[in-house]
Formats: sequence, C-alpha cells, structure tokens
Amino acid sequence: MNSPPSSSRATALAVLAIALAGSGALYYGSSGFRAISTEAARRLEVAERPLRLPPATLSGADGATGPLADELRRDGRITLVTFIYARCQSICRVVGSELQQMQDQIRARGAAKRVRLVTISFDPRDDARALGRYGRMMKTDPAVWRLYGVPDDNERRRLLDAFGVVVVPAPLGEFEHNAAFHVVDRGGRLVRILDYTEPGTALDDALARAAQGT
Amino acid sequence: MRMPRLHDRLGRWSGPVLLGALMLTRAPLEASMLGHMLVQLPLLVICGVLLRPWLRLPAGLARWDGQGLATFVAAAFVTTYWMIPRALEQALFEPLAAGAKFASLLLLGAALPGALRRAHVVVQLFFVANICAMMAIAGMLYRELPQRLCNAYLLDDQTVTGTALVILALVLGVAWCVVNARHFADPPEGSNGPDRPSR
Repeated sequence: MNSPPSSSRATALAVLAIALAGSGALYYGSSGFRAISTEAARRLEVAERPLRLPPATLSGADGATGPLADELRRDGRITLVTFIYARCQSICRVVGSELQQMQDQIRARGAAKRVRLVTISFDPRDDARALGRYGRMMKTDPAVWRLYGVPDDNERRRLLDAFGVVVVPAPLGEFEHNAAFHVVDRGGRLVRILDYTEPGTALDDALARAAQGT
Repeated sequence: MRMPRLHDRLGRWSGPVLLGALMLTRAPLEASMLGHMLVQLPLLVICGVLLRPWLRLPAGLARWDGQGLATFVAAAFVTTYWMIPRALEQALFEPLAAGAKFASLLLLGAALPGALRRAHVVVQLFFVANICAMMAIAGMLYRELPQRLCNAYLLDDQTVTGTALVILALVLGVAWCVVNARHFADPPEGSNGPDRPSR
C-alpha cells in the first residue's frame, strides 16, 4: 500500500477547518442553536421581524367578499388569526373549542373592541355554506369571531406561505397543518406566532398589544 | 489490502447510474420523511463511494486526513446536519440547500473508503460509536415528540423515521463490529498489521 504520508500538522489544520465550517453550518441550520424545527425557526423570525401579508380576497361565511387588508388593518383591533378546514375531525376541533373559550373570555373581559378572532379555511371546498355550518356549530359571535375562505387558489397559496402554514394531506381525507395562533397587529402585520397549545398566552399577548396601543 | 477489483468495469458505471436513479426518484423519495432521511441520504453516501472513479480525489488529500480524522469529523457534522428537521425541510424547498445536501453526502461517500483504510480501529470505533449514538438519540427524540418537527411531513411519518433511525444506528454499529471482528478475535501477533497502537 503506497498511501502518501499524512502529516499531523496538516491533519490538525484540516480537522480545525472542518470543525469550524461544520459548526457554522449547524449554527445556520438551527437559527443560532435556537430551533431545530422549521416551525420554531419561523416563530423566532416573525417575533424578530414583523411580516407584511400579501393581498388576498376573503369570502365570509355570510357570502360577502372583501380584501384581507381591509379586514385586518381598517378594523383597528388586534387580530388572532387561525387556519382550519371545516370538516376537520382532529386538531381543528381542539383549536375550535379553544377559540370558543377565547371568544367567551374576550366578551367576559369586555375586550371585544380591542381584540377579535379571524379564522381562515385553507380548504377550497369550504364555501359560504360550509363556513356557515361550522360557525353555527362553534357558536361564533360575528362581533368577535369571523370565518373566511380564500376563493382564489393563487391568493390562498400566497397567504398560507406568508403565514408559514404548510398543509399536508393525511389519510382519511384529512389534512395535517401546523396549527397556531397568529397575532396580527393593527397595521395588518403578522407579529407573533404561538402554538395552538397556548391559547392563554396568545390571548394575553393580543390583550397586551391592544393595551400598549401598538 | 486493496479492494478486490472484480467490479472494475461494472463498478465504474454503477455510480453514475445510481446518481441518475436518485435524481429521477427525488420527488417520490422526498415525499416522506422516511424515504428522504433513511433511503435517499444513505444512498447518496453509497453513491459517493461508487462515484470515486469519476470524482478522483487528489492523492495529496491523504496528507490532510491522517487516520481519516478530517473525514470522520466531516462525517459527524454532515450526519448531524441532515438530521436537523429544519435542514431536511430546507432541502425540499430551497435549491441551494438541496445542492448542499447532494454535494456534502456524495463527497463524504467518496472520502470514506480512504479514511477507513487509514484510520486505526480505535479511531474508527470512536467515531462510529459517536455517530451511531447520535443517530439513536435523534431517533428516540423523533419517536417521542408529540409535535411535528417538519411542517412538510406527517407526525406518523416522523415517528416511523425515529424508529428507523434507531434501527439504522444499531445496524451500523453491529455491521462495524462484524467487519472489524478480526481485530478483536485474533490479534495479528508479531505481524506488521495496522493493529499496533500508534504512539
């Protein structure tokens, strides 16, 4: 075997260089050793840099349509946005009942003038009728909680991208998606994403922002 | 010492053929976390091994890779990096990340046989044990976590991938032991074999 002689100095240098490059890559890949999942990285990113949302036309459970910007910005309230699909049997049910309780809390705390809920369906099959049925099931109070669909395919995709919502088809005709509470400020910017398991924190965050007047 | 040259002609083309197959099957393999992490990534390393006649790593490279240390350190980083769910997901959507994935694993595969040849069995043991332990721990994490780590993959997929990672860690560890059994079973007495402790 005539493998060339290896030098321990050269090897040490190579190992050092690789370790540095590797650590750099790991630092980058984990958003500075803070997040190993896309979702966690995304939440950090949004918290640090509020995000403008793309234009989209919403169509409500009542059949009326209007631009998303109007719905979010001109309303003047802090909005907690959630994404669902109406025939969901699993996680959206959990989110749905959390939202119900939030609606009750917002009313109980007299905060309906400062904070409200917007739920957007990502299922193109959810027309006004399906949304209306879902709304009745959830006992939504339109003064606090509104339901929308996005009829245009491209707009819906762009909106989901902007919110960082990835929808994956799952067995039994279900979908799996990264369910979360998205806090949108009065300027219509996405400012924070909180896990669907933390509705209390999400509501507190929205109320705090409303109180601050940001 | 040399690898038997029985697959000289066939072997020359097996690398490009496998690479072509991996390029063509990207979409179906990357559709599931299991296919992506535990079929595509290991096959890319194997493909790198087979592509050696084409890649022609310069002979002087060995100077920088005493005991295969540089390659093994790179192997530890590369395997760790592609087990980060976020990195794996970036390779789905970002062409640059996908390119980095292909390049890093192919190069690793190309460098590995030389490094294994140069490395003392104790050095090998150290790195193989480390990488296997890391894989097993990552696998257990994937299995146990109730939330999804990749937005693009289902939770069930993640759980199965975790189990498969643990199995791969065990298989790799056992395979290494089997290949190196001779070092433990019958130490070459008085031979000038590679077994004498280096300094």
